[in-house]
Amino acid sequence: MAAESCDYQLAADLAASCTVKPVKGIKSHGFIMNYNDIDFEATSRDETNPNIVKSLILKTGKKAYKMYVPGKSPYTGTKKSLSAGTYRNRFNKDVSIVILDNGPEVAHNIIDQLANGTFVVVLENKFPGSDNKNTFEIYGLEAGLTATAMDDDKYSDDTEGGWLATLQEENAPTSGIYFYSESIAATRTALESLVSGS
Amino acid sequence: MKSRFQSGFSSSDRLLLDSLHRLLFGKEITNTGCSDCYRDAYVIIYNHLKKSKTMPEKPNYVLKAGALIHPAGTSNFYVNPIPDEVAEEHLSKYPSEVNKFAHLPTDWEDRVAAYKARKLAQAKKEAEDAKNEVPATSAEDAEKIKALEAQLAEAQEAVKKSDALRKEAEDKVKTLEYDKSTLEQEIEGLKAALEGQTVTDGEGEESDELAEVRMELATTKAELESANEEIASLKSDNRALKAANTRLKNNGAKDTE
Repeated sequence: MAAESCDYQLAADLAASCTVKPVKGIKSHGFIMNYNDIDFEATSRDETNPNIVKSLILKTGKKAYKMYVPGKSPYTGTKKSLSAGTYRNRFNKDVSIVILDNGPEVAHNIIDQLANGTFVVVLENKFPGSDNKNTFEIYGLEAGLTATAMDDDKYSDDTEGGWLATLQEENAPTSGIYFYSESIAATRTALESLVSGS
Repeated sequence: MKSRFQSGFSSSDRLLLDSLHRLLFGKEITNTGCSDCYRDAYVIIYNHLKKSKTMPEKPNYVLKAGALIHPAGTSNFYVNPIPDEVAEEHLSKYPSEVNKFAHLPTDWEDRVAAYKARKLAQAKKEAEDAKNEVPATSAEDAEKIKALEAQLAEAQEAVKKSDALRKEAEDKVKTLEYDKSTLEQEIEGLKAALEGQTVTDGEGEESDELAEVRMELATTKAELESANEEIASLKSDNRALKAANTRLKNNGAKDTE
């Protein structure tokens, strides 16, 4: 293998859009899928910007699941932060999910699986950016999201006695991966088809 | 499954209901979080199958979850269910994207080859038709062309007539000019004769011959004036005809263009 040196050089101005004002936060609806169900061979990224995923495809017979967290600030605690490394810095990405429903089915189908599985989550940012490419952000596509904390506080006012799960993608090489397939409408159609399965 | 309608469906029952719902209605069961949702879906599917009396056929091409097909040059995006034609067109252009499909017919390569051949034959036929076909014009255009052709013919006829008239006028001018010169010569001759006569007769009374010559001279002068007037009038007519002729020729050239 030929020796290669990576030059990390800035390639654009650090600017803010004056026409499209940023909005903080995430919308209520999201998608979650098993990391191992992703067909990485069929999944493709944008040729010019590898931080954009053009097609997110699941293996035959697999499907994604919808998430819904109500309220003004759903998925509170979702964040990305730098993880300092010896040779290279990486990113930790946290996704916080509240599962308000509780019961044997939820425990069996969701909580037990969340506790031990590896996942990928797609969340919709409130700020779509000037070209809508900021709309959908993927967490866990590189290293996978795994549970780091799960609490079911029966007297919690926030979770109303439901579960609060925190999933973390540790040491992801890229700071952010966005899902955009030709247009925002096409991207939404593709996301809906993830839920429909094959 | 009917026996488990009250007690609750098993996970395999739910999977079957999911796939049937997708095949029949092309979408997921709307809400799967409640205990009655699958019962509702069961009733909807049962009624639909009872009415149609046929089980839904599995499509030839099934895309994997998340796969999207966008035929080039269109604004359409396809997910499941995808028409055979669209799938084959996509595979004919991007055979490497066969990994987007969860299910394909075993002979998909032959089907794609057949699709390609079909498209090629169609393109050839269209090219031939286009070659043989007279450029299509609308009824309105055809009427306009007809009207323009009639106008052109009319203009050409008018130019011919105008040319003939101009020629005639020119001939007449020439004749009159010749007459004028003849008359002028005659006048000159008569004047000379008159002067000779006067010298011979002295200041006495004019002879009959002289009176006759004077009369003749007056008549010739009057004729000359009339001829001059006619020439002037014909020249003016001729100028007008020439201008009309130029206009018509220009219009004719524009119509031809």
